[in-house]
Amino acid sequence: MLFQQIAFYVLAAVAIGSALGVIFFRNAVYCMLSLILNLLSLAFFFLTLEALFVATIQVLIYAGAVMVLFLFVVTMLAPSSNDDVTGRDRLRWQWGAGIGMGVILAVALCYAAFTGRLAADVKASGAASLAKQVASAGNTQAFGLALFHGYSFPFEVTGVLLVIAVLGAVALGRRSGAKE
Amino acid sequence: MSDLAWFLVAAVVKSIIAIVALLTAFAYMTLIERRVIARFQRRVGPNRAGPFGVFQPLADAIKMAFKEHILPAKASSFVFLMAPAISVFVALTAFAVVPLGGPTPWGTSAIARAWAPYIADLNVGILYILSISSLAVYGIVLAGWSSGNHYSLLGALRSAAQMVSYEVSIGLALAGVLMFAGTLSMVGIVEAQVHQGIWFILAQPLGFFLYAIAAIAEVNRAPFDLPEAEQELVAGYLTEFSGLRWSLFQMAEYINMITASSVLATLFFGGWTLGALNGVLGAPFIWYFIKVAFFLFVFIWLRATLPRIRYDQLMRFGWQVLLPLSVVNALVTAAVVAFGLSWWVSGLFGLAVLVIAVGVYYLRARRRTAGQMELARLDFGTPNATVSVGVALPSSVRLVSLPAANGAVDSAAEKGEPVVVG
Repeated sequence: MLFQQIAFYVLAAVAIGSALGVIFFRNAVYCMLSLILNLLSLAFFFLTLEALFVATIQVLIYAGAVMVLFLFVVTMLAPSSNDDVTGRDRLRWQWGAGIGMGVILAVALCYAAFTGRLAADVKASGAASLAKQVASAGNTQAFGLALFHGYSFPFEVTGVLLVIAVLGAVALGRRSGAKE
Repeated sequence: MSDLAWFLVAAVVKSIIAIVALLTAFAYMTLIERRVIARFQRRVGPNRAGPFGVFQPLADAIKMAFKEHILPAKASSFVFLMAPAISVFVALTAFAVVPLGGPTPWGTSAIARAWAPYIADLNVGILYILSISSLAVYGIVLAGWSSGNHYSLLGALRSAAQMVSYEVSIGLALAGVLMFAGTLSMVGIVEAQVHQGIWFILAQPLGFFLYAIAAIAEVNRAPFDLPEAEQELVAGYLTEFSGLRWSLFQMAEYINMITASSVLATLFFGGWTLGALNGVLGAPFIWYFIKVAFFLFVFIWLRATLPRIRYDQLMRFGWQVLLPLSVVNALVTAAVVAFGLSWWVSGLFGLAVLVIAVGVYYLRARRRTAGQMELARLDFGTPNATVSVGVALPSSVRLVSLPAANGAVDSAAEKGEPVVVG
């Protein structure tokens, strides 16, 4: 238990530190690296919860694929390592919006954590609990069963959403290509 | 001591053994590769340091260690120093789930199981390897970017695009094996092969070739070593690195090769097993070693044989050939597994697709050869030079558009397509 607590606090510090780094670094590539570190520390959080499959997928998809594409674009657009972001901040209203959303999220989380309202719903016990299923069927199997039996409709809706996003990206890309 | 403590001790000791073994293997792979390639090229290769050159890796290491470490003035120093470390860390970490033997070679007690010949038997084994090796691209991209040099950056971006493109095919090519095995665990996959009495190469010949090709591209080996294409990019992302930092990248490349070979051996060739000899103490190590050594030799063989392919060819091959074939393979395998058909159904299907693919390639190569001969025959001095029907002229714009009397040839050549006249 002590080991888990130490791991939690170390990971929490890394996650928050790297999240702050995403915002405060002036160099876009360092922001990217902070984001990658943040995603990796989330993967370790999943590991401490013994969610091996989710942790692996977190690394594979977010840190390994999505962030590589981000890094690709960022290094191509800001090739010089000394190219810090300078000049007037044209998106000042984002500061206010960001702080407002952050406060709302923090209040909601505090409410859920300190009153225990949410925990009662989330904590399933006995045979229905995820931990039981994982122990009996294995990590990947429990995830697969949940995805394709319990939550197949949300899964497919998400798939449709992604297809729409891809089509939208293609449509936008083609239109700008036709102008040239 | 408690079981947990034993497990931790065993894990640390096994990790140290694995790291030392991998680094030694790396050192001797460099020697073997140089010797083998020398043989391919009718040279002798390094043979001065010790008998047959066995001390050559040591000499190289000393040379590398005493070379000057250069930090370019425009480099982003922290990332520049981190990049080689990331590469090596990722390469070493991926090896953790490769099994060199069954779970119970020393007995079935908890302590004996803790000393099983793999560092961890993860439930998600093969996904773990894929996810860790998907991080390998960071070492290369960051190396290229932090060098503050355009050649390095271009090499790194090429590499990033290449690795991302081929990762998709890798995942889909392995899906067939995973469906047959019914598990993601590397130990479980070997056991499934023993249980079903076949090596999965028989059920998945297409998956094997797709994965083998994509794995070569993933570890940036010839003929897919575009990031290092020296005639275009100096040395790609390696340009600004020297001494030990340079050799760290080499180390990562060779260790990735060893891991890829281990995956090939484990998923398609039964890993450490070989029929009735599985039970003999020590034999699993030897089978594993022989199988991995064979694939490493194939890596070297390919490097010695094939010329480097062009960047557009690489991308077209990855997205238009490998990916569709992987999808077809995954679909057919899924059907075979879902309908409970025998393994040879998907095996025959895979072989048929392979024969068709090789046939198509052969015909196209013949048409291209005819096109080359046609070009040599053509007299470009005359305004009415005509091209025979049914030959494919080379896609190189320079070659085709020189004189060509034919407007269609020009426009098609500009698009980079092979030109078919008639």
